[in-house]
Amino acid sequence: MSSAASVHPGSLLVSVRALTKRFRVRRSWREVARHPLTRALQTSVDAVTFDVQAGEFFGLLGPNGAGKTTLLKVLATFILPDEGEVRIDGYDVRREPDAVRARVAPVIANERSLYWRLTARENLELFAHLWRVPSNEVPQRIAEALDVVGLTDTRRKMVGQFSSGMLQRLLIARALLPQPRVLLLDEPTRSLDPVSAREFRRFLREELTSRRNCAVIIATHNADEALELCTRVGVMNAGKLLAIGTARDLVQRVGDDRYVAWTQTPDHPALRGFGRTEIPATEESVRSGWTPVSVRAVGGERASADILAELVQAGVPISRFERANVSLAELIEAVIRTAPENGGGHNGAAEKGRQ
Amino acid sequence: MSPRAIAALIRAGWRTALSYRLRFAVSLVALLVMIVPLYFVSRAIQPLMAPAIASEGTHYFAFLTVGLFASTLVASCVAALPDAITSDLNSGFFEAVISTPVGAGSVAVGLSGYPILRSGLRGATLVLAGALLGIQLVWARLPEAMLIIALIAVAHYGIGLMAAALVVAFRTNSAIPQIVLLTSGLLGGVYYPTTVIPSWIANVSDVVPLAYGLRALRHTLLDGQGIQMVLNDLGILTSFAFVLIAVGAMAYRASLHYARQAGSLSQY
Repeated sequence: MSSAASVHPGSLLVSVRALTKRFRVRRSWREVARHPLTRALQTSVDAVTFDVQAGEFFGLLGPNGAGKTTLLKVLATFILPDEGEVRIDGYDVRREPDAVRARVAPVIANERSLYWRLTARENLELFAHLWRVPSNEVPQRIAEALDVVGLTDTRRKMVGQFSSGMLQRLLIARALLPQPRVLLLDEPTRSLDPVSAREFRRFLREELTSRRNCAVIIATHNADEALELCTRVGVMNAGKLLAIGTARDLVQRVGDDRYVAWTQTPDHPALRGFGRTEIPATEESVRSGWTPVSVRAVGGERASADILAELVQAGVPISRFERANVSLAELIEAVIRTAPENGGGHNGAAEKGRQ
Repeated sequence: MSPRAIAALIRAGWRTALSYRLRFAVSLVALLVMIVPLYFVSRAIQPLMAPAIASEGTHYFAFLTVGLFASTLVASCVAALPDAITSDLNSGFFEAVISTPVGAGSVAVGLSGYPILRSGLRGATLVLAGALLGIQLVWARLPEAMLIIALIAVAHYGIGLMAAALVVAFRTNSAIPQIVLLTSGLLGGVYYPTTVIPSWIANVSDVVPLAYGLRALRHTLLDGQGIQMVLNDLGILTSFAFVLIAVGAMAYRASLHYARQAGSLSQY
């Protein structure tokens, strides 16, 4: 097993070039009888290109069916690509799958993928042998992995008695055993409570990317994971990678013309001139009597300052005027809406393939 | 092949079985108890069966015990891998195992190793219990018997690989294990010698590997015949073993490639 410790920060670990994967679509008997020789194909990953470097946390965002999981499975050698090239630490997933498997550890999120009648330690021991961890290092690696995920005290407990959170951490410990260079995570905090999820994210950031220098690719629907954890994110839809950038950049890019004005006269005519839209009332707005409304300020900070001045001049009472927060869902929606395929012209799309 | 990975998977299977302590103890007791009615029924029909089994040992109890031993082993060799893969595909364990750098062959042997070894040991326990009840085994022929048992196991493991290939590729074993077990049970000479099979169906018996294996096994273990005396059956059994294991291995590898291409390897 090639240890991540020997990788220099910033060195290229994952290289995906024009990756395309199509799957056959199941047809009805009637359809098969009508057109026996034709094949219906669905493109799951469409000419995707990106790179991930050592020590980098790369997030894959997108709605269900966007192609995120298929992409992760290609990187893990579970699925063969149809076109394009995928290299892990220089090894081709198609031609050198064994070398790739020695460097990539996918975190299989299914809790049943462990032996429930064995203890945590016995499960890890099994996988240490499968991962070809040198025999004399097995006890130490197991102890380290259990320690890192905080399961040392429960190492002799049968896995069937673990809670969901403990199982999730054990799955992570299993993936850490071979000291992988690339770690693949598919919605890793799905079954964790908020406190455990935050602790787990801290562990991922500090232990994996900072200390171990792994490249981590994470498919997620979770805003905290995308915004706090990821060095860069890629937004996928219908198999295409529509935008790449830091999460903050993308959020700013999508939301840079939207501001929130807190006012006592939300129906004031002056607000309508700036594309006023309602924002659902919050407990704070009801209590204080100040209502947040969204306005558009195309032209950056200068334009927002001008609008604020105009509103004040028009007699609109304003207590706060701030850039609108964009949720992950809004970000994804906006990137998809403004993608060139959908008639938009989002800047992020131009970045596709640049990284 | 990675002996270390195979041993680790077999050990995990053993530990899991041990964790069900009561079930483990009960199955062992049941195995030993089973031999008693077998002994009395065999003695009761001994006069009836004696002429038919004259060429493969003279005592029906010994004939039947060796037949059941081989049948148990065959059942495990044919069904252990497809059963393990079916279950492990559904749980995601198969995905976890194939994500490691261990080769497909080691994974197959490792996943099916424990149930096959367990069947072999159960069968051997049955034969030993039979020996305590009077079966005359020719211990000097044990090496030859072991060779024949290994060939029976390899030939039927090849069929198991083909069934596993169908599970990997299409999520069904197409009832291959059941068909093989039924055919081997009826035409393989487990309960009666193949010589008593009616001529119209005897031809089918010619393509049942167990028929050759069991005949050779009884000749060596019960009659004390040397390898030269069973060379004909041994040769055919060896051919079956080579062809079936080669075809099975190719089918298994092809199924993994197909599943990776179709994206179905980690669907559960």
